[in-house]
Amino acid sequence: MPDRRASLVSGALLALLLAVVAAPLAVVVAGSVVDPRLLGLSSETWIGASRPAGWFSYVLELYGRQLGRSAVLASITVALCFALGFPAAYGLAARRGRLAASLRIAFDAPLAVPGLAVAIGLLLAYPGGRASGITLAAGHLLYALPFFVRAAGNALSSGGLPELEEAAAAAGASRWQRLRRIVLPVARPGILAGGLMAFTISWGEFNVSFLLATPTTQTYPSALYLTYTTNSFPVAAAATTLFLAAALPALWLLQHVAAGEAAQFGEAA
Amino acid sequence: MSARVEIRGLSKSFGGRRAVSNVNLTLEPGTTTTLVGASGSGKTTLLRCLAGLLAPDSGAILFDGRDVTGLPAERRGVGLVFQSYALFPHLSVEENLSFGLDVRKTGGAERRRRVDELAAALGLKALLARRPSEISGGERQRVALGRALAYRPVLLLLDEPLAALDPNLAESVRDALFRAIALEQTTVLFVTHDRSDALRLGDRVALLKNGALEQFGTPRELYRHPKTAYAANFFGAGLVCEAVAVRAGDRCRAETPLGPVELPSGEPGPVRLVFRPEALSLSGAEGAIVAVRRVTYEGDRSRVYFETPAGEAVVDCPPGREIRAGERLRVAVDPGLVIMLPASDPSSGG
Repeated sequence: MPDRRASLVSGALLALLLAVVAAPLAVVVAGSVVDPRLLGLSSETWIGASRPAGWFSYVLELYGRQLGRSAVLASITVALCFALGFPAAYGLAARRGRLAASLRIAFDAPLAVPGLAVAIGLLLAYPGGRASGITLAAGHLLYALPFFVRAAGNALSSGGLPELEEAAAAAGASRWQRLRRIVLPVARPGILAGGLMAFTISWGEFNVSFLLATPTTQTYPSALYLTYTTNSFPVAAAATTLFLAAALPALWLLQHVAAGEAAQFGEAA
Repeated sequence: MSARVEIRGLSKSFGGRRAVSNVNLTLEPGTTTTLVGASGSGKTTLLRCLAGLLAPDSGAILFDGRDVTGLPAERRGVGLVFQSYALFPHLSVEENLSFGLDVRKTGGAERRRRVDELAAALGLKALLARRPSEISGGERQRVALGRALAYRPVLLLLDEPLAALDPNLAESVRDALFRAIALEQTTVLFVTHDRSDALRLGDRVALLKNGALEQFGTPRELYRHPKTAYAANFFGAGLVCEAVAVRAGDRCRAETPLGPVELPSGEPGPVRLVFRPEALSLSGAEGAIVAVRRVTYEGDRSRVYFETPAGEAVVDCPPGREIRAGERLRVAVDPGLVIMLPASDPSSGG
């Protein structure tokens, strides 16, 4: 039974991959709540049990401000994606020519440029925006926007949406009515997925943030880096666990939204 | 509510290729016109221009004398049924039906009454709460029609609405479709590539060839009196042959590869005749003797292909009789069913 053997092999490979990917996460999460000596990772004194919320309260005391800042920055990035990325994706979805193809590539371009180069470019181009964090937000937007435009754009051009819009126009719906009654509801899962992606990308962005941040605009991933370089393992592990705690629900929602889309509309289009 | 639709000198090109070329066509109010042609003949382009989804390069479209060429789709009041139905997947059957009323802010009793009326006419009463993904292909088709009829369009455009259905289903859907359309008494343009649909569903038939109007007339005119060999072959392929008409009494007569044929009309001189299968028969002791080249069995009949000096011709053989390739038979001609092409056929030789 070659089929059976192939599925066994692929199953084993998948399990191996999961183990490789999940092991570091498991160690980090365990390290934030378990005495690290049990894990053989540190010889420091375990004081987790002596504090009400273990190392977490300590991390929040130290880096709570950065955590809040990252949440605000990610929210701003998502809002800007909706405000700027949706019109762009909507405009591009129905167009085919060469110009539209070039614009699509232009939106993806930041992905191909190393974060270091983007950060230095932004610093040189907008030296005045660094202190206020505007340059930082621009850097986040540059990385989040391609993902948003892609996800939203796919939703806006698939599922026969251009034809649905034509059907709505023929039935008498104005541009605004088409957008509100047809385009947004039908493309909603894809647009939401794009927004969630933008959130997770901004939340985890390190390269650009590390270079552009000032002490007053430092984000949580930069703080996380500091916990590893300056603090003990349990503190770093607790900080990482907090970091994941926000990212994982977003990922879960992303999956949920994608599955919901398939279930809601079935094969009809 | 039904409009007289005039299409004047309409042309549309895509990247240098002419999809529709100087089409002049008038759809009389309340009539059904079938727009037929091979794929790529410009049917859908013309339909999209009428719907307002495409802007023509030149020419004008008039509804009851009013120029609508520059009006966007949403201000034309045209009903459009897509081949793919394009039902709104997030709305129920009822919301799909009432969509055109809802965007026009037609509410309350009037909306209710119209939805009920259409649901009854289209057999959708039990499905109103369902989503398009939860109903069958034939039902979706009816919803698409209902959605296009709900706001009483001045012109109903149907783009191959039967093409996506399997042939057995298409038969019953076609009947239901046209019963419902007849109730509305609107002007209808029905795009199809199916020649028998074109003939049986249209009050008028418009035949397109390479974006240009080849012929426009009643189904009988197009079938019985095609103006070109292309039109003749489109609706029923047959042997086309050149002959010379000579006076014989008060009529004309032509010597053809299938023997002498009495012509119903015309002057002496060169003529072109089309022999469709129904003009030929295997019964009787008269007619030219031909050699059978091949036979295809089609259940209700067999098609018998035979060679003539002017090319291959076809005659139908009734189901009871069996004919084999190589056999020699007599083929009789029914002169009343022979088609005479006008001498001035631009597509001459086709």
